[in-house]
Amino acid sequence: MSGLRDILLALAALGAATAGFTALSLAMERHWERLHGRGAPLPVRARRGLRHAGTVGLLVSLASCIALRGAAQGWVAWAGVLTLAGITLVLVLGYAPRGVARLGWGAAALAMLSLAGALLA
Amino acid sequence: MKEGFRQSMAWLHTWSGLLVGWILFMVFAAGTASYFRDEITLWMKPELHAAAPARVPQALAIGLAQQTLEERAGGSRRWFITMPTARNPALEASWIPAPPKGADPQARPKRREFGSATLDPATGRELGAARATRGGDFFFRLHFDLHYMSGLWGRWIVGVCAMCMLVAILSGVVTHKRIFKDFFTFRPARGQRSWLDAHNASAVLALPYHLMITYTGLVTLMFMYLPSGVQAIYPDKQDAFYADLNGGPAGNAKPAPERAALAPLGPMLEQATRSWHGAPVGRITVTHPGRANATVNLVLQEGRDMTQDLPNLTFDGVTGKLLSGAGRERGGAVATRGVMYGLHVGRFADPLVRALFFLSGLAGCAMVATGLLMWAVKERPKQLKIRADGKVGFGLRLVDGLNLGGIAGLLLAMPVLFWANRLLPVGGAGRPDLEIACFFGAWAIAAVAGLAFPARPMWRLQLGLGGALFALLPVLNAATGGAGLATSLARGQWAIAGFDLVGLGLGAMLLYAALRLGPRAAVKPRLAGSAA
Amino acid sequence: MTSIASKASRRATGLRYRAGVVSRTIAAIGGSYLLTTLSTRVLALALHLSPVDKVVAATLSGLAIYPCAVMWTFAAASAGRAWLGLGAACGLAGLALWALRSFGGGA
Repeated sequence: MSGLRDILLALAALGAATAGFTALSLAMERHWERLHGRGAPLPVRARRGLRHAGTVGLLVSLASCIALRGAAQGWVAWAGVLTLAGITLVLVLGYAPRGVARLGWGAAALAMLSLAGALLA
Repeated sequence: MKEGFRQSMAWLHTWSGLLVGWILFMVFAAGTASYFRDEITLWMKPELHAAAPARVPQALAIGLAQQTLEERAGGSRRWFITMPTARNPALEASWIPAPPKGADPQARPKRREFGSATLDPATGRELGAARATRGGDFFFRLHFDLHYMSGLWGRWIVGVCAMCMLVAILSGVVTHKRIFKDFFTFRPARGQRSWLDAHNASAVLALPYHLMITYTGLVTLMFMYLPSGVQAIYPDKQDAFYADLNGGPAGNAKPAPERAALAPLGPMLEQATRSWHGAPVGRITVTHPGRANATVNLVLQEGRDMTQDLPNLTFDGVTGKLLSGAGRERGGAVATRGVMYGLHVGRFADPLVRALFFLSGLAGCAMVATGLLMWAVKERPKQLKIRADGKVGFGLRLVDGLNLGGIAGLLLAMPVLFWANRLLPVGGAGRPDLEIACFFGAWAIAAVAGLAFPARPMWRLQLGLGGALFALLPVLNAATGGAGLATSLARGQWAIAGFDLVGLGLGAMLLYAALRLGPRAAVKPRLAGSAA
Repeated sequence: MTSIASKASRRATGLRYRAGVVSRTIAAIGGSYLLTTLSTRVLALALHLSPVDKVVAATLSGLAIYPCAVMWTFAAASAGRAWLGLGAACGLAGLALWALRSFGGGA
């Protein structure tokens, strides 16, 4: 059912973008500190890993959008998805910073499950 | 010099934004609402809520439309038929009557002369006298034509504001030193800082959208704003330019004196759909129906391609033969303009992309509002430091008042329009204008009140009222003959349900904002700089 | 004429500062529009495309030229330099226009 596939791809795009942005934000000291407390060091390996994970997340999101809407409209959809993901993350970082890790893992899980579902559907 | 450059761009950003900010807020708010203009119109016509969205074959619907039009609009210059879609389940027919004897046949018909009818696609009969209302089209027109003035003035004013917006965006990006470092930064409850963070976030997180919508907005009317290109290549031949641009026949052909029966439209529609591999037809225009030189133009239904230049076919109205239109070649520049126009209007957008556009539009409203409010917040301590009497200068007081009336006042006026739509008596002349007068009346009162008492209690009052009016829209809907949430959700009428839900959501946000401005918030002032 | 960047220290000489701002604003709004109009015309005549494409491409570019000209005007070190720069640019565009008209052979 193409309707179900569309919904799953959209969820995958959203989840991947949110997870990606979360990872990228935690790769910055000021947000890492929000989660782990002031002065908590950000190890170099963690920073690199988070940056890579973040980039992968964003690219997966882009791929889902293109799979969903084709080449031209896919980019437009991706920009919108990034906006939604960004706003979500910013609100969590601002009002519930301790929950940021949960947001990232939850979004990643959503993305992976939805992608699996979309590939099978 | 680098520092001087950043500083001058900061200055430019502030002033290009501040001077036109209140108009821009309205343009963004009305424009964002326009993404759902069909849905808004449908909600504002509760008489149509009962019509279940049945799938009527297009050939049948167009035959019924032709019948109705031949009965009611036989001698017209032109007919327009819009086929039903998921967003608007009715069959819309409108027509331009023949010019009265002695009038210039080449003169452009005034909007008031258009006749129109909303038809049931299954029977061809006019749908149960839905109340007269402009519906969502009001917001659509408001965001570029403004109101209570000629469209030309409105478009120039909005154009100037849009260009200021573009300058503000570009200078804002240039002046934002740590745009990547600040990407996810938002520190609530920190006064000036929070306003700045909110402004940055709403601007940067939707930056591609803001750039796109502003530039493409200017593109839609660019030949009016910058006519020198047209003048250089088509001096005194504007009609020819537009004909080349839109691919239609130049000018308005005069009706042939001989009468001839219009061929049935059904077979033409089927031929068009076949040539588009089954894609449905969107709009049909019949020129000079009933005359020997009648032509029928069919356009592909929107929602397929991003461009505004949709494939269309033209048929001879008497014989039904295909005249032109198969696969027109478009040059790169014209195609680019078509895509840009299409991006702005967003009719191609499916529900997901449309919702994302809507969200980005809301972010745009937030960007403008936080910018305006931030200026006042930053200016206040500067003024209080200089003045001994604890009052602020005229400029700041004016900005405070305009902020209140322009932001909270507008957010109050919008639901008033919907309440007026349901509470004003049906029937009676000038009903649509009366609804609109209620909108502007409420806004005017709010603006005057805001300018008179630009303080926290007034903010709370207006945001609270606006929030309540928005949040109660689902209740209003069910109580005044519309399909309530339970019904619309059960029937899958997402247009109506969506309106109710968005109203509820916006109302909740405004009420929350009003609550946060309550007496408790006053206990938390940090430094002299945090007046939020 | 004072530059925008040093306005903080020039608050005392209010009139001079304000005159500079007014002057720049006129240059930015009006001068940029003149430059944009001329450039659009030049582009329309110079591009080798179909007539309708020429117009569209030139006008699309004009919409981008205007804000850049405005920004440049306010970035200039002084209002006088802003006027000079805009004037020079307009002059160049005018020259190009004349050349295209005389030697370009029309649309």
